[in-house]
Amino acid sequence: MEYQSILYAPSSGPPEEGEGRVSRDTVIDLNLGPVLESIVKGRDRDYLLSIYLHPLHTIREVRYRQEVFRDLQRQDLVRCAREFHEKIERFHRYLHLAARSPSQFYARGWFFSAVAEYCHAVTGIFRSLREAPLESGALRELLIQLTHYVESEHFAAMKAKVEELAEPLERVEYCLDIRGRTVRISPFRGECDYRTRVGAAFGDMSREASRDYVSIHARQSPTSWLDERIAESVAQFYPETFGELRQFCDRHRDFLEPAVVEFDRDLQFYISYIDEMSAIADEQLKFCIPEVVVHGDEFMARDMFDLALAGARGTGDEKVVTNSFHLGGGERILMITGANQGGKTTFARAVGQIHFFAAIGCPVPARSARLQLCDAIFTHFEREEDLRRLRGKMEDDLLRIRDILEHMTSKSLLIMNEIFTSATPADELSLSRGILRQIIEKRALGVWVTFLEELSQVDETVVSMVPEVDPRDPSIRTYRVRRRRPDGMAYARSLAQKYGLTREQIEERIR
Amino acid sequence: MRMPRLLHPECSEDPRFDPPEHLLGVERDLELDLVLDAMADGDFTVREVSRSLLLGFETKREPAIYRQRVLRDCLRNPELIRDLYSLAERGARLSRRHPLGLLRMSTASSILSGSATLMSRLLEVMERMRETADGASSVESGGLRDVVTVLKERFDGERIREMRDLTERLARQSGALISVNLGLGSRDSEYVLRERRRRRRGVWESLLRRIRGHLFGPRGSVHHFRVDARDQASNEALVYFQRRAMSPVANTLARASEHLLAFLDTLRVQLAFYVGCINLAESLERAGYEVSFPDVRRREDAILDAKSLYDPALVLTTASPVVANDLRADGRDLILITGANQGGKTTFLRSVGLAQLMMQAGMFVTASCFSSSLRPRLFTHFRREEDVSMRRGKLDEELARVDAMLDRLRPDSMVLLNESFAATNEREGSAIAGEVLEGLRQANITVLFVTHLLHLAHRLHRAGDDGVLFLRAVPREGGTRSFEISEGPPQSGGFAEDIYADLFGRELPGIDEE
Repeated sequence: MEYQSILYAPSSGPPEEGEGRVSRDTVIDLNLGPVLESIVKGRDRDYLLSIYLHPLHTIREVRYRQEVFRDLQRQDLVRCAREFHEKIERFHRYLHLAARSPSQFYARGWFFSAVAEYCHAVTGIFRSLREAPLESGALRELLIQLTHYVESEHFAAMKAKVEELAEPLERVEYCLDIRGRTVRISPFRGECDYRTRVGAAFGDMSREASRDYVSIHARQSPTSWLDERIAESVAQFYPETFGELRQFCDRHRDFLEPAVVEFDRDLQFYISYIDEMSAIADEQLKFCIPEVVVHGDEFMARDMFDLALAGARGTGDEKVVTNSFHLGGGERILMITGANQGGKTTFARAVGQIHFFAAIGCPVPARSARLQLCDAIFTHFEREEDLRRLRGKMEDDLLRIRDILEHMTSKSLLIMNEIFTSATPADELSLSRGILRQIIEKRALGVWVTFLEELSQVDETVVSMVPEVDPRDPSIRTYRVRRRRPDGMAYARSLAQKYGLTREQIEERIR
Repeated sequence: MRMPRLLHPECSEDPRFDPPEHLLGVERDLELDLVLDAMADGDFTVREVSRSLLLGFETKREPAIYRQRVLRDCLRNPELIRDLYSLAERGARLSRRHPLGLLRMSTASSILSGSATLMSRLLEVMERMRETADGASSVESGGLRDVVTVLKERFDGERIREMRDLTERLARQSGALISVNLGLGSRDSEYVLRERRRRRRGVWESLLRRIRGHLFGPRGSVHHFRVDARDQASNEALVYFQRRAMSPVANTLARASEHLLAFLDTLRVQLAFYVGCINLAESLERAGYEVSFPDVRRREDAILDAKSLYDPALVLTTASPVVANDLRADGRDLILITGANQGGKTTFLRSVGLAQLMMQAGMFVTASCFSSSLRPRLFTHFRREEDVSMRRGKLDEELARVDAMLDRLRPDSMVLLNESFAATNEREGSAIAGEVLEGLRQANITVLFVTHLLHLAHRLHRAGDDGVLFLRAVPREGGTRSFEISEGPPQSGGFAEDIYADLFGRELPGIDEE
């Protein structure tokens, strides 16, 4: 069976080792660590992370994945894909047990179980793909290959034999009479079941209490010499069935089609993200497949939110606030000023996150979005660790920014969060102006969080956004960031009033 | 099996709780301790349960009346109740000798015998209880009848014999017969505990088998063998098989035991209250005082009426005869009690409070006749020693207590005030009290107020308010040290007031009227 990757469009492929990986700084600044960990939790972590951390470079590659997401998001197909994966996992487990079994008898049993599970998995996913109205090139191609495989004589014969053998094997039953270390094995002859008798006598009393007093942790009995002894006897009780089982195992040594396992592994990329979306999405928080462009002068996102915040919210009523932005007519930079703790950094992060996920072909946390396919996302956030460095902090900041500016193109996104705060005010302003000029010249996209309101008025490509304050009670934060001119001290003034500290109030009180 | 519901028609929850601070005040003010001592008669559980029910009293009529019915049955069958109580206690105690929690750590062989042994002990107790229940007669209340029926039907001779036979067999069993489903074809093995066929062997045959066993070990066929003691893995496997097969059976038995233990414990706790009631009724009877079941009225009727009401706490602690009083306060929401010190005012207040608590707990009351309605809250505010010793400085603390009480009050509550607002001078106290009383009455709260605040009493009397009842402690005719509480206007206390009233034909104006 041929396998055309469902992750990479034909004639493109996985990146070379260590090439084009998202920088560690970006992952930390955008708070992607917990988001990605939550997505890959309980799955093939390393493999999935390598996919998530390598952004795509062309629109064609992005659309290739977006189409698969569209196909899978039809609910029943996601469910089928999950079932398929569960079966494949079980199949792996049985195969492992077969290889580990010291006894021929048990090895054959596990091997049979593995083949049976594999057949179920393949048939199951084949049926659901065949019945779904597929639109993505990736899944259509896969279906064609899968059809060839399922209809091949080899697979059909194997599947028929599995079905034929399953029933008599399931009926195999025997008795162990254990007294101390003495064991007697006999065929099962319908001896009366204690569980049923005790259930009949005490069941009505037992039903209402729920706890298990004795529990069995190991699902498998420990392997030992006994297994061999028991196997010998049981094989004698059912000679025909076990003869056929031996034949089956000998005939189907090489049953496995590697493409099936590869497909399952790649499918996990999609399932992991879809699972994360369904855990987070609700009435307010929606995901969408963004429109991704390379060149354009209009970009927007409606009701976007910070995935890290949304993922960390408890079951309580903590609300995750959504925000929107719009850049049109050559506007390139979002300048965010205003009250502390007003949601500025969260806003900047959310912008970074949607660009990050758009670039790996995933749906993004927003109701709708039109985004640039960024060739790189640069971030510069103030960090605790910076303070411990030996070199002067300002110089260090400048070096980092110089490095970024060198690599930045008109297709890059730059997110800056309060730089040069250790410099004198005059220095801070003039340095910032200088940097801003350069970014504007590069025509890169940018989000800049700062206290310097002057920066909002530097150029017409700079858009001013400000966190909203509840006018009635300034201590209530709305965490909404709106497109608006910087409004100076409004927040600070109203807060002072609340605590009776305005000029008039103080005059009144001291009189 | 339904849990016993002797305390409430719909629920079988354990009524015990830790009373919050404000209820401890009520308990202390009403001297509930003395009543509880008589109810407990040395039994800790009886005391605890009765205390919880008296302090966490019912506020709905239905459960209160429900308990009255059960209690009537209990007073008719005191021996049945005491026997059931002590059997339930014995059964519930079995959980201590055979802790279910230890099963988890048991060896394979004792999982089954452990749970089966506990069950068979429990069944012994249940059989005794059923025998006791068989002797019950004239049970009329739904609550008690349900318990008797469960015992008679669920544990009738036939069924209990079957259950005991089964548990005793399982408790004695050595090893196990286990059927194993191979579990190939994507299934895990199933292990089922089976009953060994009982084979009858002649004496000679079994002797021969035993000798052969000793001499040669089990026959060395494929199907019959012995695991080597040094083969650790195989021995572990044997243990595993047995655990797998036995645990569902052991779990069923353990859960059934848990349920039976819960049943017995619930019954024990609920019966404890009735045992307490029986004890109290008997002590009061021995002292020569009668009890009666109160008439639980609806709140709208605004009924508060008592005949020969006495304080059980006093009866239980003194040998001398105790005065019983009447109270006719239908339609009144403020009852002001004035009069001489040592005149039995506090005792009277306490007798009303205790009767109200007992009624709300579903008990009988210490009166020949008592009609009242259930209140959402009952609060007491009695002057405490510390309030008396330090006068002025304590007013703010006293007001803080009132403030805290007001936080918890609900409309329709009952409040017993005993010399409240006495931490300051009379005028100030009267003014504050007047404000508070007016507020409470507006909230539809009934207040009984023992007071020396004459300014207040006189002002209220002059106002001629129908809602206020004035009671006075007056010496009984012929007696010197003995007082009774009877209707009458507040007496004029101090000389000044009296003279002023005499000279001018009107009251001395209070501070609030100046």
